Amino acid sequence: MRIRKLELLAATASGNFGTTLEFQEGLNIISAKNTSGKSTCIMSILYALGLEGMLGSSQQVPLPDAMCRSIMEGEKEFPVVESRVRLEIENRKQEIITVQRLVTGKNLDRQLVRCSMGPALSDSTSQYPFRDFYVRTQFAAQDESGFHRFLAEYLGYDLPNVPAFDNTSVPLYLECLMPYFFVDQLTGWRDIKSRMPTYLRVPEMAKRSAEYVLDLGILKRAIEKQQYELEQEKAKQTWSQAAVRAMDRMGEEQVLIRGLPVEPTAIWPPLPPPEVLITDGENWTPLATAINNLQVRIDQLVEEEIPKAEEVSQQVIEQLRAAEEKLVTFADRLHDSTKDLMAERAHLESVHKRLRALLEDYRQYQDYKRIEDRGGQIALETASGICPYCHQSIKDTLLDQNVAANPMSLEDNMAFIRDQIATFRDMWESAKEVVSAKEKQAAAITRRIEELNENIRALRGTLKSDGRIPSIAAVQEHLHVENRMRRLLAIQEAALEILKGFGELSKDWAKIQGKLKDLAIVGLTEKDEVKIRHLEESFVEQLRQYGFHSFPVDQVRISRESYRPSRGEYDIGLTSASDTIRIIWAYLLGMLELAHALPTNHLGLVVFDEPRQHGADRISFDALLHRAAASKNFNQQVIFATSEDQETLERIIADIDCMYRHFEDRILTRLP
Amino acid sequence: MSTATLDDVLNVPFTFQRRPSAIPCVMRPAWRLHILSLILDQCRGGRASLEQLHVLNWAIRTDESRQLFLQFIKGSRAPNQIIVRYDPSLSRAIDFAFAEKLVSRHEKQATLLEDIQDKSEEKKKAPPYRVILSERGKALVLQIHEMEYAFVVEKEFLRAIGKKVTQDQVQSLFTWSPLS
Repeated sequence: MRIRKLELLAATASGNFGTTLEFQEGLNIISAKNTSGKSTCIMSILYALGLEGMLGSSQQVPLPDAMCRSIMEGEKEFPVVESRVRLEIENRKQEIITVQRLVTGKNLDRQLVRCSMGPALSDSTSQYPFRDFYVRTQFAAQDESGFHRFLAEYLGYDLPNVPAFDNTSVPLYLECLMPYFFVDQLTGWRDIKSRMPTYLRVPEMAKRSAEYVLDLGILKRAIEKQQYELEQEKAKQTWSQAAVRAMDRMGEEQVLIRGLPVEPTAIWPPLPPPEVLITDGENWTPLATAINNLQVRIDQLVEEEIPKAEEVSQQVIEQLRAAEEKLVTFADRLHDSTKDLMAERAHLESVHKRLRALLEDYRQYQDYKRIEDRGGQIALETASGICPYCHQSIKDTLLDQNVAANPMSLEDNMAFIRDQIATFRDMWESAKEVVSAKEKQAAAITRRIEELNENIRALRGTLKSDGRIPSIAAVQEHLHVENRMRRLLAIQEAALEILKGFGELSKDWAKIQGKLKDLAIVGLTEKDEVKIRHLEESFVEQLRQYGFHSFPVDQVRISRESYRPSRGEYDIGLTSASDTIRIIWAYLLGMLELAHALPTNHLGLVVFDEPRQHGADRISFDALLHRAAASKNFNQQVIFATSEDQETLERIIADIDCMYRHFEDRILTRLP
Repeated sequence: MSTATLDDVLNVPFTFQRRPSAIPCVMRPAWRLHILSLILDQCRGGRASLEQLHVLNWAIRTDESRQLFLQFIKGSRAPNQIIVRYDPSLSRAIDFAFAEKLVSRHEKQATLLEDIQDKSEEKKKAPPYRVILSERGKALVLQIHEMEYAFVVEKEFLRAIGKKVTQDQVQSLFTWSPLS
C-alpha cells in the first residue's frame, strides 16, 4: 500500500481549517513542533482506515481537541462544528481509492467510512463512484458491509482464521497486523512486546501476525492442522453414528454383527474381522452357515415331490405331535428367556443408577476443588481440618468422629471416583450388550413359536383335508423355506453393504490420520528459516549502525519461537529508552527490507511518529533515516513525523533523497 | 492341596494398615457449609426452620430429588408420593456453620414434633427454632456466586424454586397431608 495524500478538515462557524499532505515513495519526513498537530496527522492516517482499534478497545477518537472540539488560531479559539479526514491510497495493482471518515459526531456517524473508487483528493473535479462501509462494529471484519473486509481484499490480503481455544477459530484482524506498520507516539515505543491489541482475544496474536506478515509456511500448517483435527472429530461422529445405525438395522432381524469396531480404525477389515451371526432362539450361527444349511434343505425338498395328503397322513400325525412338543419347549424357553431378560435389565438399571450417583458425587467434588483452589476471603476453619469449636484437628467428615475412618484427601477421593466411574462405565457397556443379545434371543424364540404355530395349523389342515389334495404342510414348508432363504439373502446383502460402507469410512480415517501425522510437528519450513535469517541479519546490522549499546550486538538473535528480538535464549528484556527505540526501528525496518527481497504479506509501508525523548540519552535519527531512505529504491514508503530541531534535521537529511515538509507553526491552518 | 501347606501360609505375621476411605462429597464439612449457605440465602430473609432445612437439604441432593421437589412445588405431584429423607449429618453441619459464624440461631430449641402439634395456634407465628444466615455467611454466598462454574446445578435448582417454599408446603411434605 502506498499513501498518496492526507486531508484534514475542521469546519468552524467562522471558516474552515485544515491541511493537505502529499506523500511520495521512499522516505517522507513531516517536521513540526510538538504541539503543532503532527501527531494528529499521523493518527489521522490510522483513523481514516478505521484501524485505531490497534491501540485499544475504546471507541474514543484518538485525535486531539483541535479536530474534535475547538481549534486555536493565535490566541483565539473557535469551536469545531464538523471535522473529517480523507486519505488517498494506492495498492499494488495501482488502484487508487479515497477513504473519508467523520471525526465529530456520534458513535454511529463515526463508524461510517465512505470509500470513493478513485483519487478524489488529487482530482477534485471528477465524480467517482463510492460505497459506504462500517468500521469498529462487531462483524465489520467479515461482513460484506464491513470496511476491513473490503480493505483486506483491496490490499490483496486473504486473512486466515487462526486456531483459537476449544477447536474454534477466530479471524486474524487487520488491527493485529498494524503494529508492524504503524508506531504511534504514545504507546508504540514502550517495548516490542506490548503493542498488540490483546483485547481482540486472538491466541498467540503477536506470533500469528508475524507469521502472516512474513508469509511463513508454519501458519498455513497450523491452520491446516486444525482443519484436519475438526475433520477427525467429524469422522469419529460419522463412524459411531454408522455403527449405531448398523446395529439397529441388523437388530431388527435378530442378527448381530460381532466385532464391529465402535471407534474408527485405519485398518479394514480389522482383526478379527466382523462376523454376522443370526439366532434361531437357541444358538447363534454365522449367517453364511445358516444360508448353506438352508440351501441343503431346499435342495432336498426340490428332490422330493410334494406328496398327496393321504400318502403322508401317518407322517403328518407324527410331525404334528413333534411340533406340539416343540411348541411347549419353546414356550418354556420364552418364559425363561423373558425372566432372564428382566433380570438383566434390572441389573443394567442398577449399574446405571450407581453410575449416575458417581457422576453426581464427582461433580460435587469438582465444585469442592474449585472452592479449595480459589481460596478466598472467607476462610473456613473446617476446610483446614480444624474443629471450629475446640480448634483441635478433626477428620474431614460429618460422620461421627469416633466411628468414622480417616477420609481420603480430596485428590485421592477424586481419583478413586474416577476409577469407579471407569469401572462402572465398562460394566454398563457390557450389561447393555448382554441385554441387547438377550432381547434378540427372546425375539428369535418368539418368531420360532409363531412359525411352529403356523406349521401346526398347516399339519392339522392337512389331516382334515381331502386325502387327494397335496399335503398343506408340505406346501407350507416349501413356501416357508423359500421365504426364509430370500430373507437371509437380503440380510446378507445388507450386511455386506454395511461392511463396505465401513471400509470407505476406514479409508477416510486413514487419510486423515496420515495428514495429521505429517502436520504433527508444525515447525518452520526451510523457506521460513531463510526469511528469519534474513531478518536477523538486517536487524543485527542496523543495531550496530545505530549504536546499540545495552549489551554486545553479537548476542542478538531473532527468536524462532516468537519471531521477536532475543538475547541468546531469552527475550531481549529491558534496555535503555534509546535502545528500545533502536530495536523497534530496526525490527520494523528489517521487516520492510525483507519484504522487497523475499515474498511476504508486508504492506511495503511503515509509519513512525517520533517518540518523546528526555534527558541525556537522546537518540539521533541520523543513521535511522539514512537507512530508511533506501526504501525508495524498492517502491516502498516510510513516513516519519518529528519535532527535531529544524537546523539539526536539515543537516541530517541534506544528503538524503526524501520528501521533506516543515511546518513553522500550527499544521491546521485557516483555509482560503 | 494339603492343609499343612495352608497352615504354613497362614502362620506368618500379618500387618493391617488402615487405608483412608472414600466418602461422598456431601459428607465433607466445608462443602456442606457452602451448600447450607446457598440454601439459607434462598429462604425468605435468609432464615429457615429446621424442617425447611431438612427438606431443602434432601431436595438439593440428587437429580431425582430435585426433580420431584420442583414438581411438588409446582403442584403436579402430591406430597404423599415423596419421601423426604432425614439427614442426621445436617445437625452437625449446622453446628459447624454456627461455630464458623456463618449462621446464627434462636435460643429456644424446639423439636419438630412440637412444631406440628402447635400448628393450629402458632400457624401465624414464626417457628421457634430458626437458623439465620449471618453477614459472614452472606459474604460466602457472594463469593460462591462470583464463581461462574461452581455449584452450577445447585444454583440453577435454587433459582427455579425461587422464594416459593412456604412453611405450609414443608409441613405437608413431612406429614403427607395435602395442602389446604
